[in-house]
Amino acid sequence: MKFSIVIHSAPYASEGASSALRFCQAVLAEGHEIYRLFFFRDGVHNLTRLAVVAQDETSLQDAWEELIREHRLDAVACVTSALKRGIIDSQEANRYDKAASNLSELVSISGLGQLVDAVQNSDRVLNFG
Amino acid sequence: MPAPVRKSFTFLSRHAPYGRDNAQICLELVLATAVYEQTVNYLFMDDGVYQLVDSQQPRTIHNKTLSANLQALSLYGVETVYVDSESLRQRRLSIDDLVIQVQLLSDDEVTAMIRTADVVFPL
Repeated sequence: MKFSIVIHSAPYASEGASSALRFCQAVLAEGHEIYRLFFFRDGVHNLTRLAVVAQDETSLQDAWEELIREHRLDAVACVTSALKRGIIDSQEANRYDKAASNLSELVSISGLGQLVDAVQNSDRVLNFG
Repeated sequence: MPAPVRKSFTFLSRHAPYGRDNAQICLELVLATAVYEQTVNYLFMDDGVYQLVDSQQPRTIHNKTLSANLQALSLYGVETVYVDSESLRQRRLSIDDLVIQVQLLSDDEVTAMIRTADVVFPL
């Protein structure tokens, strides 16, 4: 079955992002397909590469990046959500003259059209957080 | 080129208009989905019905009302807005208190709208 996952919540403050990650791992382990991950609202905070997590804790940001890389997943950050929260790639950093960028090149920045497209092309779409 | 897929989206707007971003986000999602010519069911329930109350003054809390955008829904092809009638009744509101025309739904109709949708966005 083809799934798309919408992540609405930031890591750590609530269980939503962590549940989403574990759901994705379970879906892939069962041999299903993930059509798209759509990081929305506070969910874009899962995508910063500048987070530093205590040694005895799990970095959700690193775990997402590993999942996306390992399975070559299509991952999209909502442009409106991401820019206003300071989640930007190098291209946007240049465009807006910002000192740093923090978004993986594995993730694209795009609009809600990508979410509609995900619904159109998936058997199931699940919202987390 | 294959014809674009048309799916049915049910949006459950369940939160009061201010204090968190749910109401605004839900409306933005509804408008975006309508632009892509999908089937949109926009349903207000629980505290979400407060979004529809007329004569709000959100400028005093540096906010803006959703009502202008709500009134523009029909321009986007969202002709019918649905309200859970029990949620209105519990809050002692009636359709006369609301800024737009709505269609009231019973519990069973709400259930059906959720069950028959291709995707549900609870906000």
